[in-house]
Amino acid sequence: MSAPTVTQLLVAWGNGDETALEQLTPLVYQELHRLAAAYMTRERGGHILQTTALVNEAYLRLIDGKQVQWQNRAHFFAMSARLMRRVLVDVARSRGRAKRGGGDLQVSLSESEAGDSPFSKGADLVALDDALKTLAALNERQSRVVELRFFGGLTHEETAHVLNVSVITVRRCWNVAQAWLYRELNRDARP
Amino acid sequence: MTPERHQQISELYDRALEVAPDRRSAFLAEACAGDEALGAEVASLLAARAEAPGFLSMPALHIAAQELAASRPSTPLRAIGPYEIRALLGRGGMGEVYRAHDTRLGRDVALKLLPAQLALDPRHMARFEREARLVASLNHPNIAAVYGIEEESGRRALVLELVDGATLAERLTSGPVAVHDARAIARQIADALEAAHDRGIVHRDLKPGNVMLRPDGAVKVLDFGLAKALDPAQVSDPALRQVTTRLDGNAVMGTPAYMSPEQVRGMPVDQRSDIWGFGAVLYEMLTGRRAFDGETSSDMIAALLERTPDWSALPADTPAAVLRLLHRCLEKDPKRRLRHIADVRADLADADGAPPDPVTPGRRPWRARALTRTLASVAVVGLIGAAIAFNGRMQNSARTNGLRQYALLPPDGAAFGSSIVDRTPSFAISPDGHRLAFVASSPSSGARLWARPIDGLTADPLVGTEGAASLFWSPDGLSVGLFADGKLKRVNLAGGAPVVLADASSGSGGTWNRSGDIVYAPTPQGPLWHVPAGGGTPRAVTQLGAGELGHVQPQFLPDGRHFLYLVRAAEPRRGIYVSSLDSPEPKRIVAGRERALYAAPGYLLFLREGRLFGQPFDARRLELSGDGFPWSIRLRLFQRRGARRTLCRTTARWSIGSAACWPRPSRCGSTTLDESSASLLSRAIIRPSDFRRTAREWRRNFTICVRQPAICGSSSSLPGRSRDSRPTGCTTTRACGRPTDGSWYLSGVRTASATCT
Repeated sequence: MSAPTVTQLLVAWGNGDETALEQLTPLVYQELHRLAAAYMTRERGGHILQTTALVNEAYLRLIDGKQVQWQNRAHFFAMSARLMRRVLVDVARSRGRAKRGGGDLQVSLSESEAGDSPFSKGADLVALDDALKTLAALNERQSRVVELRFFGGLTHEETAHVLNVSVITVRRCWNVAQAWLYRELNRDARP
Repeated sequence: MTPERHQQISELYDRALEVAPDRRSAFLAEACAGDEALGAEVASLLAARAEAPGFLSMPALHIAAQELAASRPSTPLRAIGPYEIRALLGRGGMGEVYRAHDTRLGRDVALKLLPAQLALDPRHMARFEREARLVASLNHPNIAAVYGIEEESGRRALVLELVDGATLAERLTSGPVAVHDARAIARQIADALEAAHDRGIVHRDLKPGNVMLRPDGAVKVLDFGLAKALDPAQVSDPALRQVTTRLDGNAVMGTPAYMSPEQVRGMPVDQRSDIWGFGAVLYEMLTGRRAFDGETSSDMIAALLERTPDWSALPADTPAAVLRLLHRCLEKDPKRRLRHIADVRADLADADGAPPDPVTPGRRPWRARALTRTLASVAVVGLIGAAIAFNGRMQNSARTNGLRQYALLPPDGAAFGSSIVDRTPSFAISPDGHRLAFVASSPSSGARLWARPIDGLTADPLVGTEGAASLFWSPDGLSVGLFADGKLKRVNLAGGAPVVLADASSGSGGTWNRSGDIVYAPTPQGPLWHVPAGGGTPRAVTQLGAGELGHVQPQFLPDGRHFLYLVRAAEPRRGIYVSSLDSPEPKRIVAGRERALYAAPGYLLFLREGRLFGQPFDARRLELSGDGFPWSIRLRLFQRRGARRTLCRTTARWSIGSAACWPRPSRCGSTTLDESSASLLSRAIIRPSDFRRTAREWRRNFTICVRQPAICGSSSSLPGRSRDSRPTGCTTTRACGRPTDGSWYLSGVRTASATCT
């Protein structure tokens, strides 16, 4: 897979070409499966670094903003994040249906190797997607910050650029959205 | 809930975060008087935040992949294709080796399994398959055969001939080999090399550990993993070929003790490198010790570049022909070295003959001398800081050659980076090397600038630096320039409120010279600006050329007038440029999309192909000279244990080198990164945004012991010790130089993984 291809497809999709999405989806799948295979086969212990490195590499392979003209970067990143959200949530949804007849799998939303870590709070991508839609109705910008950062893998600075707001604004949005979503998901998750 | 109400909650939540946690309820009570529902909403958000500080901290792709991986059966590896795994034989840089049984042919084989993360890396994959193809093309009784490649569910393995017996390295632990036997072994190694060289294949990593001695006396050379077809047609551009060679192997791989001088220098390698290795192995067989040894890799490198082997260590009954052969093999200048391995046969077969030729050391290649001089000067320039504690013992500067290592822990309750979610580490060492300043943030007080003595353990926050994002030092080390809240500010470490110097909505680097000029990038999208440190009207000092997106990350050169900076643009414009305060005539120094740094006494550090390179740089003529050479990255992690913050002083239980030494729960740990991680980190060094994600996960339990760079300085070695004082057999190399702008680097000299038994 070469980055320009993804780039061109994203641009095409951004211009309303829905067939581009059909070509993009397998590319995301491919990275996803590579990553999953890596997680499965690596040794126990001592792989925090490798994990983050692998995730970074996967994003870079998929979404290499360097290939894009600066003027288009904001649009490009926005489309990338939307793509990731769409595909990853679809994957979670279909897997959940397949495995549990409708229920969604609980997955950890943060990386943690230690069982006693406060990071290991579970939620699932489908519920998160729904909660994000609710949040969008209340505050579009907060929801987009999450989409760009969490799904798109962007930094604060990149997010700020895409939304054309200050980094401080992005941080504020992120802070609120993070707490709000966590509360929302755990509300739903509890029986 | 209405958007307006949500907005109200969001705003109050923001404000509450700025209040110390213990005062938040009081704050809410006051702010929400008459609207308790509002207070309850904000309080529940604050509770959610406290409950899950790392929520959403890893991106969605990771979550989805983790879920996918978890849903697959995770059984331990039992078989790959028709090969049933029987036992682990060993681990190496290129993967694990198993003893396996071929159920189809009913024989045992060796399976060399590529680590999963490498299997996903096309570059490693290519190398792996090249290894297979190359060795498979060699059919020789003294070369371990390759049977094929097997792949199953994302795992790839090389199927190899299983050679029973011991390695020559194991044999050598019990002393030297008798001359007669040594010659017999050497002849077979030479035969193997000859067969390979005839096909244009260079082993590149010949060492006792790669030579198997079968009980029947047969010798098998293993692991042509670094072999590389000598096909100049593959890469026609000589400059590119050099880079390819370096990137392709000798940068991090290979064992320095047996590396040829040209290999160590990252120059193109041909069969004469193997002849050097052959000489080193023969010498070791005869003497029982390495021809070029040192406690650490850099000692070894210094030895093989500078010193001749100790010929007097050879046994008295060494035939003259063998001694002559050793001299010809271990000639440092490849041009003067024995050219063809076939020529050794006569010497090895020769019975005792005339007394050896007088030892003529020969003219040392100038490059070796120049390099050694350079190293010496780096080591001197690199002397900084105070003594550190290591292994529980104080090492004074004489014993450690001025090499320093410091633990860097976030202040209590805070984490590195400018916000709870932005963990980009921003550190800088003062120009005199005595102080360290960094940005850390805590939920209660937000981001602030902290400073401490470099060898201290506790840092103090600087008043008035709230909102700090990144920083740079003044040349006198008394002040710091920082970007905070959309402004460029100056703050005196002795105290006093920061002084706002200019607007900088998204500061992207600054530098400060002795005349009190500050050059800075207020945003990544424009030119560089100048402002007097004492205050004044900012003016642009560079001008965006056609197609240029922005000028960032300036750094003054020693003359205080010229400065380096990065031009963000599409190829071919982007790169590292130099310009001057006096005459803005930009000059491109080197291509690149990341920041470069000038380091005393005259090096430019920059990235090439994702790796950190150093290259001699003449700061007066503003030109690169000589060859660039790669730096490998070594990183250490120290686990934080409870409230103790003195880990570098109590590192008795850490060790370094192999995966086996990775931090385990409740253990201090340290590691040498594998190549792919190292290349990522070298990118991270210069572009902290990549580093953010890597660092984030460590902030709670680990601290990163960051060292300053040296080109290839002296080193020291101490055995690691377990808590009950048993040596763990680990060695380490520490080498520190000091880049003039005081940026922190993860760094290290090129080194093979240290042993860790």
